[in-house]
Amino acid sequence: MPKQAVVNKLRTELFNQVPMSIAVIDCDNRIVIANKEFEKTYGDWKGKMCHEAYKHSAQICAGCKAKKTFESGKVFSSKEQGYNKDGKLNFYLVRYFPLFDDDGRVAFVVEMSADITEQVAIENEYKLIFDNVPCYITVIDRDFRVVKANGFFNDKFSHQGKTYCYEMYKNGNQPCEDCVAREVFKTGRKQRGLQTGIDKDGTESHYMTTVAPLLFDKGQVNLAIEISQDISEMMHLETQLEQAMHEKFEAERLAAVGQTIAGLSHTIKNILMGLEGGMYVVNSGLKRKDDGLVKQGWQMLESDISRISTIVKEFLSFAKGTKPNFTMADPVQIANDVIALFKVVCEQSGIELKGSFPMPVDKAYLDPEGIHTALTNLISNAIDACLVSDNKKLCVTLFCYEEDGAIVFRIKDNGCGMDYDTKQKIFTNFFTTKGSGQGTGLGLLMTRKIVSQHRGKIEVNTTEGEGSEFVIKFLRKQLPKPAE
Amino acid sequence: MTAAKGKNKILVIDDEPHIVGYLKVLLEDNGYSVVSSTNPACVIKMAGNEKPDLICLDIMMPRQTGLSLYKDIRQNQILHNIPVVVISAVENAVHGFKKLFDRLTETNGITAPDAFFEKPINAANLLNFINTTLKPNLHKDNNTQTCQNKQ
Repeated sequence: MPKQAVVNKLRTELFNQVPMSIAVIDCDNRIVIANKEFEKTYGDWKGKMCHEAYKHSAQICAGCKAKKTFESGKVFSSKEQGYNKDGKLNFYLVRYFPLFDDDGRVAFVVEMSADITEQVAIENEYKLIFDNVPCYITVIDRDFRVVKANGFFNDKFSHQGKTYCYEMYKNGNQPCEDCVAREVFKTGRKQRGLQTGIDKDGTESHYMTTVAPLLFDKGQVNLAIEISQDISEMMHLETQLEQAMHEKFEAERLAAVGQTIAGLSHTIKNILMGLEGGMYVVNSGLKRKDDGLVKQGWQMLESDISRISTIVKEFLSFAKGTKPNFTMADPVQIANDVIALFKVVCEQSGIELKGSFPMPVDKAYLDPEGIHTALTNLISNAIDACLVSDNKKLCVTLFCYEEDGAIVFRIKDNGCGMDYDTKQKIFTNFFTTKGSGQGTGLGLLMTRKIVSQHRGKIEVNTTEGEGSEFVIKFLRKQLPKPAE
Repeated sequence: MTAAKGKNKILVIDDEPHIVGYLKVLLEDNGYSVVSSTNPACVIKMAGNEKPDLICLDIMMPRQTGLSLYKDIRQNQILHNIPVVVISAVENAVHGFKKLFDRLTETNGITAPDAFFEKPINAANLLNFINTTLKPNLHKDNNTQTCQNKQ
């Protein structure tokens, strides 16, 4: 085949095979020739005007670009919408270019159009989401200039004359110290952070920002997208909840103080009688010239004065509402310290004291002194329960482990256990079963308070005659956070 | 009924050792023989052996409450006639326990205690009652004298 024939054939094939609609129109906008793709999309074109074929319209389009090409001989482009042969709306991108005759005049204009209906649908969908999603969305460049923002953001933060992210979000004049986007531009990786801004009405707002790289160029992030979820309401509710919990706790504390005073009077009466008794016995001993009796009376006085001191200290400690001192602490270390504290006492009393720590437990934000006090109270109670038990091999075990996201302390004994009535009363004020001047009745109450300060739970399982088990659980996600 | 050397014997039951110690000396000073216990579980057996002339009982002791111990005493064939003095630190004990024992008398036929004293006790009143109960012919002369230590 001669070379020219090949070229001609190629032109014809290209004209028909190119995946674009091509139509050639004369100066009256009449289609003189069109390719197969055009026919496939817009149907029979023969004898039709350009606007009839593309838009099913009898009128020439306003601002017709083909006409401009005829007039100027220049190339134009436009985004148009029309109807296909089935009457369905379609969008297309058109390029108009001239075909000159030998005299240099525009004889015909070629309209080359690409169907962008699908892209437009996606673009509209994206725009709809972008503007209506209940998040603030901005696209920022490396200088933190906002190049695009959604309606939600504009309604809340957009200020006239402000261009930078930090100006809009925070009314600042320089990039934020805790800027999340800076890390994204630096590392190319998605980042998150809690931020506090000021909206255009001057109201403080809190939002969780996620920043992700949007456009990479030559290995660096040129654009990033910031998506911020407003959590002001949630934080407000959380503050209210905290406040309500605090008020509830205070109310409970005051009620407890009232009940405690009633309970305290019972204890004080016994102590008063002990003191009076002590004085009587001392006097009686002096009268009888009996040193033994004087000594006995004196010991009674000393013991009851010491008991008053203990009760007043514990009562004040409970009543004034000691503030916990939270810090990162090792739960197993605290448990170990408590075990060490009771080791000698247990050995002397014939009780086996065991610590069971089957796994390392990560440090957590706790009040170590408070936890120590709580565990000390429970171990001390467990030992007392063993001392009045008939069981032959007495044992107290302190477990510390992590389970389902919770730090667990479990104190198990095989002492005397508790009956139903006792179990119901153990966390109430001034309840004690230790009659001989030993208990103040505040230990378990304080333990419950400490657990509650950690937003934890305490439960008791007990069987009379067989033993008791106290379980304290601190869910890690519910523990107070360092910032609180 | 009476203890050695002709003294009346009193059984003191309280879980507070100091109070037991005090009542023991107080009662001994006033001419009584005293046996005591801080463990309510063994009281019935002890009372059966000692056969006291009067029992001073604390109500609201741990483990076995004084109330159930009182019932046991009143339902015991040997002990049921022994005078019982109830001593308690319970708020408003005298009034509260009277009502409680009245109900107990109505429902179970258990007779009420012979006296109630609220802690801290008035030693003179306690001694007066005990003297009246155990030494009806002497108490008029002894009342003032026996309380001198307390006063």
